[in-house]
Formats: sequence, structure tokens, C-alpha cells
Amino acid sequence: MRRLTDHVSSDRLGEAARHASLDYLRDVERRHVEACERCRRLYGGYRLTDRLLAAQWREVKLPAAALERPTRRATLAGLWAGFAAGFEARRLAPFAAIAAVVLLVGTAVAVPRLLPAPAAVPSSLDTTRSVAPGTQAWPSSTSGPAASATTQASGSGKAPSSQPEPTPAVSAAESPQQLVLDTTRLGGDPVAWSPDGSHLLVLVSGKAQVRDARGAAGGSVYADAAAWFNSSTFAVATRSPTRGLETIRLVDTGGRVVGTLPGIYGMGATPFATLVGSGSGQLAIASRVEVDPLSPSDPSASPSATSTEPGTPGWHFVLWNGKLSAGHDGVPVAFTRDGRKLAVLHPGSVAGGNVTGWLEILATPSLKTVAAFNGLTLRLGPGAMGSAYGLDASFSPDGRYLLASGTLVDVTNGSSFVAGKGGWLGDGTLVTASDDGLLRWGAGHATLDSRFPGAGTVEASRHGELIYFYGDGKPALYLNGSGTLYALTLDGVGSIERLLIAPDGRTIALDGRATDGSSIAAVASLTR
Amino acid sequence: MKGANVLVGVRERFDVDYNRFFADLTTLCRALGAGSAAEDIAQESILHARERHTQLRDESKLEPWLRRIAARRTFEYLRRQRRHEACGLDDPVVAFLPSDPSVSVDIAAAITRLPERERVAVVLVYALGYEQEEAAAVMSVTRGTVATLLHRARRHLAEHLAAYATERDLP
Repeated sequence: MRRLTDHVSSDRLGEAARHASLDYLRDVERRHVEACERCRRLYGGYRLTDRLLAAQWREVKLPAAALERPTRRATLAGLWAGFAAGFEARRLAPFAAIAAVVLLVGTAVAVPRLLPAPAAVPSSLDTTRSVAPGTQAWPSSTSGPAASATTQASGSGKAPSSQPEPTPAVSAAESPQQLVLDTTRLGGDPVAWSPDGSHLLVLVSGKAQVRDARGAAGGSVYADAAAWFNSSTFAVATRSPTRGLETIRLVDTGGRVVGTLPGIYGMGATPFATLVGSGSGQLAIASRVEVDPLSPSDPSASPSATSTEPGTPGWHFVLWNGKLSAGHDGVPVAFTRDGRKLAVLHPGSVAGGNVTGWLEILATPSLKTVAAFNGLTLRLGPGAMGSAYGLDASFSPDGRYLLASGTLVDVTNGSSFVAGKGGWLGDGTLVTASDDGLLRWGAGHATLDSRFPGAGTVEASRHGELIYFYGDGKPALYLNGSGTLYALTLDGVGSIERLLIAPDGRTIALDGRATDGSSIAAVASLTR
Repeated sequence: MKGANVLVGVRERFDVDYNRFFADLTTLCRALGAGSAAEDIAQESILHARERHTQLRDESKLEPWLRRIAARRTFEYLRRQRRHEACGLDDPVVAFLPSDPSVSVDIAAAITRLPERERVAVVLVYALGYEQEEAAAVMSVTRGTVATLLHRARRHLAEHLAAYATERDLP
């Protein structure tokens, strides 16, 4: 007969966890678990274990020191602590008596130090938590993205974790002021703001159209992909309808073509080129070669058919900064803000909504390898117009971290983890969205900013403005550069699906649903 | 002559499927802990198998055979590494871990500190998605042994993570 005081066996707890409910247990077992901390903890451990085992796995690099095995003494102490925790004290009485006799005899023969005395064992010893501060793989308090003043209080000195923790220091009671903004409708989907925030690229019926910050239309040009080359010029990739290959042209903000890059790009059955601009006079142009260009079976393929010098099927790119570089393998992902480095993904496989490959950091314009890391897995996404794999990536202001489709990579050592989609504030703080609200990353962990509750999407400007918006029609929350919080009402806009803040933080472009349920794309000025 | 045809077929498969074999074995070796040596071990394994393809009786078992060779070479490599203590504390170690947002150094440490056979079974089945029979073939043990190792690994992880889950009110 089971007594209420008997611990529930590990296997039974494991089975209950597998069924995700204590109801799986018999009544007497369930009552015991509800009353017994040890069993409740073990049940929680099983639940967490099952969640981890069911998750997607990926390859990460960790400093060996973080995984340092416990010393022999700590192992013995841990074993003793686990043994002691597993039994009730009254059951241990006979063993304790025997142990005491053994210890006394041991003392008598001068070997008292061979075994650690139970009294010396810390009661809360947990060998899995013996990580020394500063040895963690992800952002640390000294070198990570800076934490904002409001979130620093709860973060200092804690072990790193990607698990968000609520931060009472944030002013939870602050209620947002109401801000109503006029909107100007756009005739297409907003693509990207110019680096100075003065112009916006909009995709309209296969054309890239330039609009000014007030939404007034400028010129347009046919484009499969577009990216800003500098604040006054953008590049477009345009496919020739007859040859099936793409040319890259430079266009000014008036919509006038000011130059055509040498070479033609893209080949094979589904040719396309992707563009990544630094915004400061550099452009990376990538093509995916789906057939061997040297193969005589494909008449459109010849080594001269592209300037990216493909030798094998796969991704290749060139860099344009007034002159064309030699070809290089990989998919350019993002430039650092100073334009001195370029992150390049070498994709291996695409499965389960992820692309897996290795990451290379190149110096520009030399394209010399600065660093390379194996085993990066990135989530496929909608990304920017024409971006490879729909990746949406940006470097931190200091160029140390890359946020790519929600994965944060430390480009100094290759460590990475899933932080969620978001952006960088001007002071280097990373903000991301989660199911619970806005997360601010700093000091090696995330803190929840309770002013931005619930599952939303965050966009940030380099000047420190951020907007947290919801797809279900709830008013977006806007935090301006001086820290004032507003609830945004946008004239004619029912819900926001995508939003872009201009780099200067003065204007937004969005698309979503109008109040009458139709599709809408619009711009609005954040300054009154 | 039928046997000769089969052997020619196997040799051709090494050439035709080299990239696929190489990618598969590299992933396996990395998952087993070979780190930066994974590609070398994968390539050596393919070359070794190609030279000795006549030893393979059943062509359909080519891939399990290759994986077993690569796994054995990886374990030998890891044993040599441990003997020479080549890995300094500042060197990064590569590990396969769940890409769950709640995974921290604590959890990473719990997984990497599992006994080696348990860790290998967990990585093969959960990280690489092998069936238990496939994992058993790689580890040169029976399917029942793999099931036992997985059961033990789950219990060890649950014990390691019990305090962690409770502190953070997970799940």
C-alpha cells in the first residue's frame, strides 16, 4: 500500500510529464507531488527536458570553460547531496549511524580527509551551475549590447540566459499618451528607407518607385530587387525578358538611371539576383547558379554569362564600390554600419523552415576573411525585397553582433542563440519581440519591458525610437527618443502587418489593413 | 558476375553521391563532438570505405556502413584528444543543443555533461533525427541499448534541470 509520504518514483513522474499532466498519476501520488517539493521539482525537470528534446537542435560553439566538468570533490559532494535529498531523514538514520561509526574508525586510522564529511556539503550544491561569470558564450555584462538604464537594475551579476525575466524597475504603471497621426497612402508595398530617411522605396506592380518622406511619388523603374547604394542612389536588378538574365542599374531619387554595372547576373532555370547595400557606397550583388555554368548541356550557361565567376552551382557574389571586385562564394547578408565588414552566409541545407550553413565575416572592399563560424541555423522569413532566403539581418552599432532572422550571433567568437526578431537602438541595446512582450537585451540576458505587453513586433530606429505593434488591431505603442510613451492611432489604419521606421526616426511606412478591412500601405510623420 | 555488377554499383555511388555522403558524415561527426576535425574525418571515412568497398556484401547497407566507420573514427579521435588534453579552457567547444529560447549555459552544461554514450544517443536521435535502429547501428549496440540510454539520459537531464525549471517556473 502506497503511503502519502512515499516519494513518487522517477519513472512515474517521467510518464506524467510525458502526458503533460499530473492527472496521469494516481490520486495518492498526485496529492504527494502537490505537497512534496522534491517530486514537484523533478516533475518540472522532466517537463523541461521533454520540451528541450522536442525542440530543433543546432550546432553552437561554447567556451570550454563554460562546460568545465566539476571537480572530483564537487562530484562526490553532488552525489551525496542528491542521495540525501532523495530520502527522508528518518530512513537515513541507520545509514547515518553506520556512516558515523565508519568515520570514527577512519579518523582513528588517520584517513579523515579521504571522504568529505556530510556537514561540509553545501545544501544547495548544484554542479550544473558552476559556470564562472564572464565565461558564457553569449553577450556578457562587460562586452555585450549595452543595457538600458531602466533594465540594468535586475540584470547585473546574473548568469547569462536567453530566458526573459520580468523587470520591476521598468515603470509598469506608466500609461501611454494618445498620439493621432495623419497618414498618406502609398500605391504599393514599402521596401526600404534611404540611409538618411529622406526617401522611401516602394514596390508597385513590378517597379521600384521612389517616394519622399511625405509620401509624394517620384520616378520608378522596373525591378526584381532593390537596395540603397547611398542616400541619393539605389540599385535595382532588372531581368531581361528575352535573355532571362539580370542587369544591375543605379538610379537616383528622381527615378533616373545614372549607371549600369558591368556584367549580367543570374542564370539557370530560375535566375535572380539579390542586392545588399551598405548605404555608404557599397553594393553586394549575389546570384544563385543552379546549373554548372561549364556544362555544355545548358546553352545559356557560359563562364562569360556572369561577372560573379561561378565555377560550381551555388551562391556567388561580387562587390561594387565604383569598381567590381572578383567573385566570391556565399550569400551577402548585411554590412556593418560603418561599411567595413560584410557578413556572408554559405548555405548548406534548407529544411524545416531553416537554412543551415556557415557564416563568414569579410573585410570590405578587400573581401579578405576576418572570421568564419560553422553550424549557423537561421529561420527563413519574408525578409526584404529580393533578399536571399528572406533573411532580415542587421549588425549592432559596434559591429560585434549580427541579428539575422531572430538569431543573435557574436561575430567575434561565433556563439549564437535565438533572441527573436527585433532591432538595435542607437546606444547598442537590442530590442526583440516575444510572446510576453518587448525584451531588452543587455548584461547577458533579456529583461521584459512591461510597458509593451503581449505578442507583437518591434521596429527600432538608430536614434532610439521604437514602435511595438500588433497585428490584431490593438494600438501600436511608440517610445520616442526622449522616453515618452504614446499609443498610436493612425488615420484610416485598422491593423499593422509590417512597419519600417526611417533611420532618422522621424517617419514611418507601414502596410496592413485599413479600418474598412481593405489592404493599406501608408506613410506617417512621427513629428507633429 | 552479378556480384561484380553490385560492386561496380557501389563504387559508382561513392562518386555520384560523394557530396551527400560527405555532408551527412560531417554532420554526424560534428554531432558526436569532432568539432573542426569533422570534415577531415568524414573525408577519410569515405576514402577508407571506397578502398574497402569489396567488404560490403549488401549494397543497401552502404550508408549505415559509412556512418559506422565515421562514428568509430570520431570516437578514436576523441579518445586521442582526451589523452593529449589538447583542448584549452579558452578554446570553444562545438555542441549540438536544442534551439529553444530558454536554453542557457546551465542547460548546455547539463546536456554536454551527460555520460558519453547517453549524450551520443540523445544527439543521434533528437538532434540528427535518426531512428533508434539507425542510432544503434552507428553505436554498434542493439536497439534496446539505445532505448535504455535514452531513458537514462532523460532521467539524468530531468534531475539536472529540476532546480532550474522550478526557479524559473518552467514549464
